Amino acid sequence: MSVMSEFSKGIVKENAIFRLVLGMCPALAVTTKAEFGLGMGLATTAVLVGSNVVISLMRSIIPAKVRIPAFVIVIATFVTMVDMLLNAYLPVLHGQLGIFVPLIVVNCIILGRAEAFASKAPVIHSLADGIGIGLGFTLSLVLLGSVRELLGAGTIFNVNLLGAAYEPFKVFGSPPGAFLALGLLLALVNMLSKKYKLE
Amino acid sequence: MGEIFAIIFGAIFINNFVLSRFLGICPFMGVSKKVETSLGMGMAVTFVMGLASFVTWLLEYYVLVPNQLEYLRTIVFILVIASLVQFVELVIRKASPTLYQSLGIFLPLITTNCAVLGVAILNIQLEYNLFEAVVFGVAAAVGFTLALVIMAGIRERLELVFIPKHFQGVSIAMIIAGILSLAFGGFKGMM
Amino acid sequence: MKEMMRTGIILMLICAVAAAALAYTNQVTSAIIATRLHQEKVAQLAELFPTLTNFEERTVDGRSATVAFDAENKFVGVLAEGQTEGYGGPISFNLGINAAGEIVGLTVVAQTETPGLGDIIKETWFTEQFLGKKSGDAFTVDAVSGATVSVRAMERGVEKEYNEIWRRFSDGGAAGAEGTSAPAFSLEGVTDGTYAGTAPGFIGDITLEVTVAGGKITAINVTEQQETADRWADAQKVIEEIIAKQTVQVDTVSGATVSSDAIIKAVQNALAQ
Repeated sequence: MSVMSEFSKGIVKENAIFRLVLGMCPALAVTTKAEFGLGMGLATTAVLVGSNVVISLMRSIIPAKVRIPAFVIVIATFVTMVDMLLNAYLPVLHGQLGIFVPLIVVNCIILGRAEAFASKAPVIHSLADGIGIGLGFTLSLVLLGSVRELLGAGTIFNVNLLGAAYEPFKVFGSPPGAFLALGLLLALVNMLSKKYKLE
Repeated sequence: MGEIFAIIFGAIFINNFVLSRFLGICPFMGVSKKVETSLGMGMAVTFVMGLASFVTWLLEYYVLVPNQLEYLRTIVFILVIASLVQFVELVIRKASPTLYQSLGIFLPLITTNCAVLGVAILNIQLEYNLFEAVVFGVAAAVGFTLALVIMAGIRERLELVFIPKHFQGVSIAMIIAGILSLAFGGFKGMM
Repeated sequence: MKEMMRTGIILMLICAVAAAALAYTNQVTSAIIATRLHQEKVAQLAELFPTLTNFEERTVDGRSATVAFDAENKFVGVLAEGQTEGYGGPISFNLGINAAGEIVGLTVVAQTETPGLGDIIKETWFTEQFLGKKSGDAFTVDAVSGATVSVRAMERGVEKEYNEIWRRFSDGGAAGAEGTSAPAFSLEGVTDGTYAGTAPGFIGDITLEVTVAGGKITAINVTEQQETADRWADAQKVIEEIIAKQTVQVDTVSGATVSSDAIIKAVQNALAQ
């Protein structure tokens, strides 16, 4: 496949959240607002791109037997770096994402891409794959965050769209609302993908 | 004693790991199709989470903190949890083949269960002592098991009813989880 | 064997590179994080205590707080963390108290109250109601329908934590300044026997006898006190707690802070002999 298609497949066709149903924990936990979804998505993308490139570079020297521990070390290193950088430069976001920053390390998407793709593909393809999957994940989180923020507070990215008369549907800001919003969005995506024959 | 009870009740009902803290969603969605398998998964997770709470707590306060290496926490914890799971798998296979039959298949899945790493990190953030940490670990896992088994019970029945085409699969499971989460919201204020 | 060696060396190398990268990032970021936390603290303190020029972290009786001083090194106020059990779990807040013992700042740091109902406790209009309250005031605020439990939890929590903090830091936490916390309480070296101790209570002196047997406090008998009846009934709870926990590092009883504090001090006095 061309580099371009490695990049674009992650956004729609192999979208982590809506098509592969991976990485659900952060998707549900941090999407009370669109901006937190964006922050979490970009943090995950940074880790994914870093680990994909490094693992692809080292793919010939990592012994097959210990590849999983080696991948985990690489991923955990990037996660810790992102954690420290967020704490230093974006403290508010860091506080909001909380425990889900270190938990990027167990996000199945990242280990999954390392095992299934980066350990077998050239660097440039792995880079494109990382950016594509990462952006697809980010877009999904922003979409979910926007829906929840709009219904739960009447705003998107803190911009009021529904006016003062709108009585916020506060449940969408709380845990049950996260499940409901994602469940409904999944059904919508199923419907659209059948309609436009993405299968 | 009251505080220990508060930790247990809080971890199982009020801040249920799955339904309120969003930890362990992947196995919650993946292994909740049958009550029997979800019980097996729950038991394996309970065992590993109790053990992981114990080991990571000791590591944090006897290795990382004295050497000012707290920034290596994530990497150390995940490696320890991964080795722990491998070790437990080996021991169970040697010691009790029957138990291995029922739990063994779930063990490799546990490494990437974020509830395990989550509980290890939460123990440190909430500044629990060793005993509280282990109690919290086990109680959180019991809460996870409870949510998993309830979900499996509902999904077994779901097999028999009509579900609109586009809602089938994960979509309806998410909506059910949402309703369960609302129901668990009723436990708030009981403390 | 050779294969295993190679595997081991490669893993070691990966670990070494990872550790080095993290150590470097940590070195760069920890300074930035420390500066930021310091600046945030300064800004927060400056807002609460306009005359402050200097501050210090102090620990008294197992609780730490930031104590602020003015240019003449006079105590101007204290900022400490407090916690209470709300409707949906613990609520943590920062409580600022000035040298006159009045609450000058209250901010909710973390809470899990019901969105739209109980979570009003984090709003400024709600926390503002506690400003100006001091020792002896009623820590009650307007009830909010749908948020009764959360509001009550805040009233109780702020009062209890206010008393706890003020008891320790009303003198600027001088006890914590020397780097030692409270009169050391150690049963080591205390031979078995009965020891008498006295401390001023709410109305008059409280005198009590502490019985030590086998290196443990086995009984505390109050020989003299003039406290009001129902306050005294509450205050006596600390006696049970001291015996149960074998320490004087116990919380005072809210509603009977002075009396229960006096009991704690009297036990300390008795054992310090």
